[in-house]
Amino acid sequence: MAAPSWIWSLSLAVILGFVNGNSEGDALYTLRRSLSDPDNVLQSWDPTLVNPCTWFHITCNQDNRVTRLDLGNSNLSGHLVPELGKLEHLQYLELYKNNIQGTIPSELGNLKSLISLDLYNNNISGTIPSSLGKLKSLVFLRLNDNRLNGPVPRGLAGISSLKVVDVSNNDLCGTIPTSGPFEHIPLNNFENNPRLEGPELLGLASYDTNCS
Amino acid sequence: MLLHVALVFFLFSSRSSAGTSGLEVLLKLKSALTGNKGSGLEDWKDSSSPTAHCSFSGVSCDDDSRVVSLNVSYTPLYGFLPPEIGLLDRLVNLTISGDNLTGRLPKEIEKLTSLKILNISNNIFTGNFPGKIIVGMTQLEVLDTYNNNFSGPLPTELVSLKNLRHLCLGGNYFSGPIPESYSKIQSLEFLGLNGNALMGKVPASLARLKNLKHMYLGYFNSFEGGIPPELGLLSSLQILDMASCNLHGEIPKSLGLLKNLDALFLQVNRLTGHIPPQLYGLVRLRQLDLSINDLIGEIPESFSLLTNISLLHLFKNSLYGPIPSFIGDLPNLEVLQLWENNFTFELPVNLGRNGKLKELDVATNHLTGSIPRDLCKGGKLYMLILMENFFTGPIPEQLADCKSLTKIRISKNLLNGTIPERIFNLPLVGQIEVNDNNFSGELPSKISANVLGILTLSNNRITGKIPPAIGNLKNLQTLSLEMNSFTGEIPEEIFHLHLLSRINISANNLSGEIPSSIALCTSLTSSDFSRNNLSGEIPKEMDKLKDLSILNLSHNSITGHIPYEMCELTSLFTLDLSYNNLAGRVPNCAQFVTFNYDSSLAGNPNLCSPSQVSCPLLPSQVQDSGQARGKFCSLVLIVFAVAFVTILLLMPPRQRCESKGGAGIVECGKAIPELKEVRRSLILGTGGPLS
Repeated sequence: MAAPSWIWSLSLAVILGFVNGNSEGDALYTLRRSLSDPDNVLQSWDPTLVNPCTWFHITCNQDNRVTRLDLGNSNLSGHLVPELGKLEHLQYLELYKNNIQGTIPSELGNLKSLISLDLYNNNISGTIPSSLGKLKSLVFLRLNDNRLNGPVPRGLAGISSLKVVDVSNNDLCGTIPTSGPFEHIPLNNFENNPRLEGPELLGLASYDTNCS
Repeated sequence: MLLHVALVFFLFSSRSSAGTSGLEVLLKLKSALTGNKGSGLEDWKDSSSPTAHCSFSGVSCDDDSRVVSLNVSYTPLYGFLPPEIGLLDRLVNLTISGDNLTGRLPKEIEKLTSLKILNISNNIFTGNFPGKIIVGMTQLEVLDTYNNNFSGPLPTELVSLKNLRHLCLGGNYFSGPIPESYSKIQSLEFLGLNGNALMGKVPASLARLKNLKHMYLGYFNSFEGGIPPELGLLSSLQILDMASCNLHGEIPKSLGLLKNLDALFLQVNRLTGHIPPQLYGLVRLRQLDLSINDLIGEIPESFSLLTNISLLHLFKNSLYGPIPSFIGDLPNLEVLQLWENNFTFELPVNLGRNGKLKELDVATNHLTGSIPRDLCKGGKLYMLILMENFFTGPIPEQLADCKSLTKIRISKNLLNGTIPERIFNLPLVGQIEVNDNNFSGELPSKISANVLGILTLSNNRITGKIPPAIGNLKNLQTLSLEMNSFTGEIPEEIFHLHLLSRINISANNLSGEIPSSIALCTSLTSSDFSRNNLSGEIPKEMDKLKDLSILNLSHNSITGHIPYEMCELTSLFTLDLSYNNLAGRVPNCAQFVTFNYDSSLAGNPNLCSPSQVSCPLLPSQVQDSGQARGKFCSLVLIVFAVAFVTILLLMPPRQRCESKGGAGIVECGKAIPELKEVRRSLILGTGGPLS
């Protein structure tokens, strides 16, 4: 225990008990540990650095807060982590075209600066968290080509900035929202969801029956 | 359980003396230690031989074939420790570390009164630590429970042990205060309470532990008050680690009495006041870490006496004054990290002359003067971070020969001169950041740093062309050349870099076209070529850049129309083509609907938005649907071009090769361009404009 003590103290010092700076690095490192990365794209993700801004595939703003995570098409598998929800300045979460499994953490609803959420072409299951309705800056929501089930959360219709939604090729059920931003989303962005019924008919029979 | 014990005793008596009892007990232990998904202990098998157990792996016996030592570690057992352990009453050493064991400690352990070593570290034992089991272990020298899930108060029954020298309860969830009575364990040489949930004040009475050599109290604990000055009396102490445990107050000057101290770790606390000059008394000190605190004042001059120091961490404090010149004379200094303070004046000119310097980080201070020449005298310097200061002068040539360098971060200073050529050939360098300085001159034509991942030269005064040799940087992911005075064309070799994801060459004087080979650069996510003199058209091959997210070509002289292929770029979020000479219709597709016309496309007078009813027909438009007349014109031009090229091919070859200029002249040595390339250069004209 004594021999590598200084290495232990050294690296832990920067990781633990830090003022506020490196909780984003910690959150991302938690993501790294839960992903399998055969192409070593996350090799530069060194948790002993004071912030993650020199890590590849990460972009920071001038205050050293993470604004982009660009890991599309990176041969990653494993699963997402709730800690991702701590990246309050994150604008672009690009994890498309990988082999990520597991569910979408509801904590992603805390990413209040998020503009783009691209999880398409993965192996993600579970439901679309209704907390995503809190993402008031969201413009792009692409979850197509996964194994998602459950309904399309109605709260998404309250995001007026939403321009592109694609949930095709999943196992969603219930009805397709038609209000707010969904007025302009083409129907084929919902296709290939065998249990998804047509657009909701407002004012008529209750929607989302048999779909919890 | 009683039945088990009875059965075992029955088996004892039914066989011949001594040994066999060990065999039965160990087999019972095996079945408990090895859980459902566990494995290991394969050689622990039943046997007719009564002493077979003495050759089990991890087992040692005495002359009477009684088990005296059980050492099974780092085996994925996944089981629990059963009460039968108490039957091995001759046991002197019980080490079962890293076996994924769970559950609580059985109180039957208290029967192991001969135990000298009890090591259950790196498991998942839970519950309170049953201190009562220890009382009978009068011979106990080592108690190691590091990295388990024990909770509750620290056991106080240990204080009666007269031989205990190594006590490690760290890495658990023990709560409450450190018992004052621990000061009575006079035999103690090692005390590890780090990584728990302890609180209260650190007892000053711990100073009575005259034999203590190692004390670890930090990490996740949260003590009241500060460092008791009495700890300066621990004259045998070699390592004092109280990092990250919410300590307040000042560093006691009495700590300077610890003349055997090898390492003092007080980082990540709320320590205030000055660094006591009395710490010069730590004559053996090799590592001093006071970083991430609220310390003020200067580095004491008396530290020149700390000639054994190899690691000095003072970063993230409010220290000021100069970095004393003796720092450059410390014979053993390897790591110097002073970043984020208010240090002023120059770096000691001797720094690095001891031939041992490995890490230097003085970023974000108010340092001036030039970069000392001999930083890499020993050829060991791997980290050179001077950024965000006021350093002046050039990069010393000697640093360009420092083959050990892996990180060079000297941005945001007032450095000038030409960047030495050999810096771009260092074999191990992964990051070169020299942006925001006054560097001038040109980049070298020979570039070979094949580990380099980040190269930022932006905001300097660099001139000349972008060397094609940048294409040798096989691991480059980020290239930042913006805000310089680069001229000439974009070398297409850049786009052979498979890992390049971010490129910014904006705000230069670059000319020529965007090479269509940009399509080879498949990792590109962000591309900024704005504010140059680029001409030609947007290559339609850009649709191969599937991960392109940011594209800025604004403020250039790009002509032609926006290729419809760009609609395939589903990741393109930010597009700026403003202030160019684009023409024709903006593609009417889903991706382009998301762009704000005013910010993305303004300043292109001939560009028509999808909502415009008619779009002026221009000779450069060959794609507009339904414009038959335009198609006819281009057909005529194609025929003309073919004829022209045929004539050229029949001409005798030229003696000397000229650079290309004027329509139809093929650059010497290059393959004859494809028909459409010729058509394009004819139509748009590299000489006089036709459009």
